[in-house]
Amino acid sequence: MSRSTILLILKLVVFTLVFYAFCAFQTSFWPFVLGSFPAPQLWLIMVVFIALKWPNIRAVFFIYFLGLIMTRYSYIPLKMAWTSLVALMLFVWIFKNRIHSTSLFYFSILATSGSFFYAIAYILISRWLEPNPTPVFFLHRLLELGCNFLFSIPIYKFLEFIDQRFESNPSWGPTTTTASTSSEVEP
Amino acid sequence: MNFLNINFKKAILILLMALLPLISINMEQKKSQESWFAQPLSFLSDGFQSLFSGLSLGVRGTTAEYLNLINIKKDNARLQSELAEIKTRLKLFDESQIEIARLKNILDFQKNTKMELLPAQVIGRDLLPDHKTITLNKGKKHGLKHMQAVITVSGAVGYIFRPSEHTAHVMLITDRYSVFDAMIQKTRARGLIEGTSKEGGILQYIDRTEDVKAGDIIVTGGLDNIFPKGFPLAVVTDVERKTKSASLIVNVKPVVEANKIEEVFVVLDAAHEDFFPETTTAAN
Repeated sequence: MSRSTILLILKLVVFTLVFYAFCAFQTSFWPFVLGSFPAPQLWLIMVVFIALKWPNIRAVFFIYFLGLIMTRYSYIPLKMAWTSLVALMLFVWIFKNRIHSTSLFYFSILATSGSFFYAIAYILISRWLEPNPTPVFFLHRLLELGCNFLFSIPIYKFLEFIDQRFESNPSWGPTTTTASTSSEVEP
Repeated sequence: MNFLNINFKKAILILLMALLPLISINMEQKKSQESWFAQPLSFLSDGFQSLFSGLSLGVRGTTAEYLNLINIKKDNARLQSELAEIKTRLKLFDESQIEIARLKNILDFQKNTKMELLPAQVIGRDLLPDHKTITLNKGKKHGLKHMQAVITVSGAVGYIFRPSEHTAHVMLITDRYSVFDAMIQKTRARGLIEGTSKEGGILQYIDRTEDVKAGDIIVTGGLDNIFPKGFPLAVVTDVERKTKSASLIVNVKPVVEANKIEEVFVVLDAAHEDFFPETTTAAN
């Protein structure tokens, strides 16, 4: 097994554990410390990061896997988790393929707008797929957006750090590599 | 003219020297009366003494006040600290009292029921606002199974939908996927409570002729032997009487606020427990 493969497996394992930690933070830490105040969707920020930074094919399958993990922390049906996550990925890719920026602010804006898009997509998909669609929860989702914006900055730094540690060809400049293996095909 | 060859200057000087003590001795003998020439001197000395005495008093007073102020500040800080400590202790005491009362209530409930109950702690909430679930710190290892009822002393909470080895996920009454067999306590009209994922739910299939008002208690139906019969479930908040519909739309709010739950009971066996007092009387 080559070094790059080992690093890739390690990266997938670490990102999976981080995703578990983010979900646990949101479900078992935040509500017991700050009550019913909406928690930042750390898992969603992570999904945006993966969709933005990772090669597309790898990102798609890994995000599907994360969707499966999500259902362990919620009653969300798998169909809802996967369709809404795919919608979010498509949203991120629209910007990924048009705007090339590595700035922190760009990521924050993308994470926040991604959260907004995810909320809308979720409501619409819920009306389409579920017999008893979800309510809008306007204020709750609005506060979540605010929290996501604030938390996206440290989360980006943290994820970027991990991402770089397990990169076989770590980037030293401001730009990051998106395709690490030749077998992965960009759409 | 100076036959005796006396030096008058010296003589006068000597005389004066001798006289002054004599005068002073004489003055000492008449203490009650101050001599005329001493009076202005005394006046001035009194004035100066009074002035400096006043000044001294002022300085001493100011110094004392300053020192007192320092002490007061110190005392104040000490007392503030003591007060804060006492307040903290009082708060802890109050918390302990509340906790004791709550635990006593739970213990009494557990003792006085026929049901087989397992206490559990809430360790998590749902990841998304679109669903209303909680996670318990007990799982299959502790005997928990799918579709077991979860209750508190005040009322029903939900049922287990996904038991894991060490934890269990509970669907609350308010989740939009949940459906509960329910009865209006007053009229015994049966219906189904469906969650809305908001704060409450809707009691459906209640005949429009039923007398339902805001404030009526909704209890568990007990048909499935999952929940004990007649256990509080929700309170009616609003009743909609649509002209075209054969049944009422009754909006309800759960008696147990899901956001505030810390400890619950999992009903391992409902043992046909009936909380309707009149049913028991009728049966007897």
